[in-house]
Amino acid sequence: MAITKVKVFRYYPDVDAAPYYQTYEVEMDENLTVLFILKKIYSEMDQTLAFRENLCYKGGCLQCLMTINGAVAKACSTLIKPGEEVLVEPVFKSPVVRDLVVDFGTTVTTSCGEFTLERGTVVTKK
Amino acid sequence: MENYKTLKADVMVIGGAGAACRAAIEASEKGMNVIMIDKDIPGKSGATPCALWSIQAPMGKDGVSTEDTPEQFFEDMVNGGHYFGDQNIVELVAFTAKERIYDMKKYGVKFAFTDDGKFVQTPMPGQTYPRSCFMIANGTNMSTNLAKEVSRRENIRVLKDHLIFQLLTNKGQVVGGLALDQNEGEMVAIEAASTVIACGGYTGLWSFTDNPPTLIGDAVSLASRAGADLVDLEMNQYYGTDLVWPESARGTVLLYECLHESMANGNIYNKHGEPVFGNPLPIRDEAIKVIYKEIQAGNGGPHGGLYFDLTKCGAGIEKAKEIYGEMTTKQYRFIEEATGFNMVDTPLEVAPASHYQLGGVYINEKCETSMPGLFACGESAGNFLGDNRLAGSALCDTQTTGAKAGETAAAFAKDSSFVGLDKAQLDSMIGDAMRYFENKAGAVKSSDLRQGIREAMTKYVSPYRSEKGLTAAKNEMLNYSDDLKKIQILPIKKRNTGWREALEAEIMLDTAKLIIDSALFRKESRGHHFREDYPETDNKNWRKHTLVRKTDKGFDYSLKDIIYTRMPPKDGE
Repeated sequence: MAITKVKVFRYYPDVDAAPYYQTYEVEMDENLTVLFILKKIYSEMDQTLAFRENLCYKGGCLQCLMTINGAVAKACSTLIKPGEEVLVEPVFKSPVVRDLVVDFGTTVTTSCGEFTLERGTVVTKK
Repeated sequence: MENYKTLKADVMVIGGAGAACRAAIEASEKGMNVIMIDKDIPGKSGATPCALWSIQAPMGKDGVSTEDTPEQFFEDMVNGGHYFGDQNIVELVAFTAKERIYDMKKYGVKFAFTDDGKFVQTPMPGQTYPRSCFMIANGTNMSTNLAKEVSRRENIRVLKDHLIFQLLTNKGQVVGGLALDQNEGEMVAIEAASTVIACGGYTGLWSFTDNPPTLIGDAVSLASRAGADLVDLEMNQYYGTDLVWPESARGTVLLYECLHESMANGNIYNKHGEPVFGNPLPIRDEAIKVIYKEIQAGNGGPHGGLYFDLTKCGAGIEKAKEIYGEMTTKQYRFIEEATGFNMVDTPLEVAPASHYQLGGVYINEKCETSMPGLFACGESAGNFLGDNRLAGSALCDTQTTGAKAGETAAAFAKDSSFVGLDKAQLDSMIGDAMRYFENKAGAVKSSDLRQGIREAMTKYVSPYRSEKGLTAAKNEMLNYSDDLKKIQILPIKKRNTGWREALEAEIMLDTAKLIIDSALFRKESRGHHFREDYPETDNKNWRKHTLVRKTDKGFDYSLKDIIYTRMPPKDGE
């Protein structure tokens, strides 16, 4: 058992004057991915923390992209050892909705390509 | 001022993976204005991105299995499902699968071809001829390219991060849905002439699953509240060999099929190092039972699973790495990245996990539900696969039934006018969704409630069930229903995970109760419903669907005849 210090970017643009960082001390007795550590923080320590929790078991959907220790990476596939320190921030090129959740915007990227989602405008017949 | 936004479309499609994209494309093709709405991000969400390479279709002379026909596919599906699927819908799947593969190719999905340009088709159990077309880069490639096609169409508007948590009804029909826009923290009412449910199954109701944790029963819950019939909810398919540990990759599929003699030639081992299967390996549904029983008997490892030990496989470690590295490229790499272990070098523990739901919303061959204005397709729909499912069928179903649901929904929208929303219903639904902010004392955490429901399902609604366990599960769900009223959520508007969890907990409890009561109702065993207290299959009395229908007093459970078209069961079969 060792304490892993997880420093997390926190920001609620509607409320916070500026982003800040919060450090969580997470007890770990085995290697865990960043995504799993965040789930642990959410369920055991802090229900205010926002992030995308999806898991596709393939590292393919890229919903969990974040900036981890300074580089954009998949939270589901980044392994942290007990006692290691880690810095978790959102993908900075997209606007932050809250904490680690960003609005990926109209351009969606998966491991199999890129496309633009928001094209249609809804006009109905009547 | 209204406390919600209103949007309007001819056709609303709920979901964002294979079936939803296909339904939206078809409705768009028919000239409809479409809203496709997903609680996460279309192209990334749902079960399709998790899928492997296999999508079955009889390609005839265009594939390597030149003798294969739709008739043969139909027969294999009926046999595989033990005459338990409605054959009017099996016909739809079998006879349109080939065209749908060509649609996918047109949309940019990449398939493997032989040197002379034929579709590569791999054999899967239950297929008379090798029928599984090989998608390069697997399900992620499929969902990405389908979502790409959706995005090319000007008459489809995509709403991401919108959780539909209620269907809206008026004058006896479905007239749209109510969503929480998670990024804004606002309610959005969508008025639609037709609504298509294409948001997957409910595998995520179990804590141990190989599906995304988001698939918790939206389809069943939405449809049941609106008054549409549900069917065969007790037919819960498990997959035998999913990773139980390390935690970070818990649920990842280790492909049992590749243990076959012709491939890795491997086995599964108990904690004493003994192989649990003879030769040849049993088909996967039999294998699940063997693995489950062996673990129940206390022969599992420290994490409660059996060992997927490829160091002992007949083909050798190098060959096994080649097979798993090529056939399941992404999973192979993911396990290595997310656990630090190579799945071939290190024997990892596996156990049966919730994999697919055969039951769901009751549909006919046009993908109409029992409620006017409501349509369903893909894993959300229920009554065509039978009591078992052939490998490679799930993705094929998303396209065949997805296209049909889109077509029928478009025709319905064309022929009808908007009924309008029931303002009182809408206000009451919004009031219910907001009430979580008012709870104070004795608060229950939404994440604890959700985890409790999922663990109860894994414990009691397992591959083997009994009245005792199911009754215990039912009682737990009743307790959780009380807890639901005590959920306290934080006063945060945007991306409030607790709020989503509370709304999802309602969905989960609805679905769990209907599954448990369906499983209690069926007092026999067949396919993916095995009752320890009623171990025999009783075709005479029970070869019928379990139909769930909403009444004034709650839900009524009854038997409904299976529809046979080309292949009625022979007497005594």
